[in-house]
Amino acid sequence: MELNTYLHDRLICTSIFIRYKGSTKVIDNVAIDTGAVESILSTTVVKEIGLRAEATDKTAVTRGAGGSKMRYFYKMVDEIEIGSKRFINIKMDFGNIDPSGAINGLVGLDLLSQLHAVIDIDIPIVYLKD
Amino acid sequence: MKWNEIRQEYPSQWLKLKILKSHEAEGKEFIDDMDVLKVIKTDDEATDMLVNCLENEIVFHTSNEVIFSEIRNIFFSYRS
Repeated sequence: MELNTYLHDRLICTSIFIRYKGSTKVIDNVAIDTGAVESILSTTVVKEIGLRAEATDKTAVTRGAGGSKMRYFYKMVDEIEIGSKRFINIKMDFGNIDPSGAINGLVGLDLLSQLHAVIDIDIPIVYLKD
Repeated sequence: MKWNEIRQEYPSQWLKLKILKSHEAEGKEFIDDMDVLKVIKTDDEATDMLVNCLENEIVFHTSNEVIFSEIRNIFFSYRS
């Protein structure tokens, strides 16, 4: 099985489907990023489905590009779909990973490993092993 | 100010805080001393401010008894 990928802003990107509290959205321009340990989505693109930080959400801090601190939060979402693989009731991180707005999220190693992804840089194509 | 003082003064509120002193333990950054920079009215505004914090700032809700962030270092290049 192949994952629909394309180059955007010089990065290998895909589109993912998210469902949260019954609202759904397809998020484009999500970069395939083997340098990210965890997947993360931009808060600005999920705002319209009502996803935002709430009082009880846990916050976390990491170092972003340039080494400065970047704060984000995480919460459970109903569903994430990548390719035809569905992750139900999955924890996702939400932050500001690209202030320019070109990239709306990162599919990191946590999901790539669960997808058994094989990345072909030349095409680019990401195969998902059965 | 200490978090328990702030919680009494600003119950059930999102706040933007300046971190004056913190320490790391058990993979968490605990905030020990802080100043209130701004009272935030909505979850939407808190979301924007949280993810755009400066180095010594944090956005937190006073319904939480302890103020801390998990240290996750999700971008490999910058793992300490």
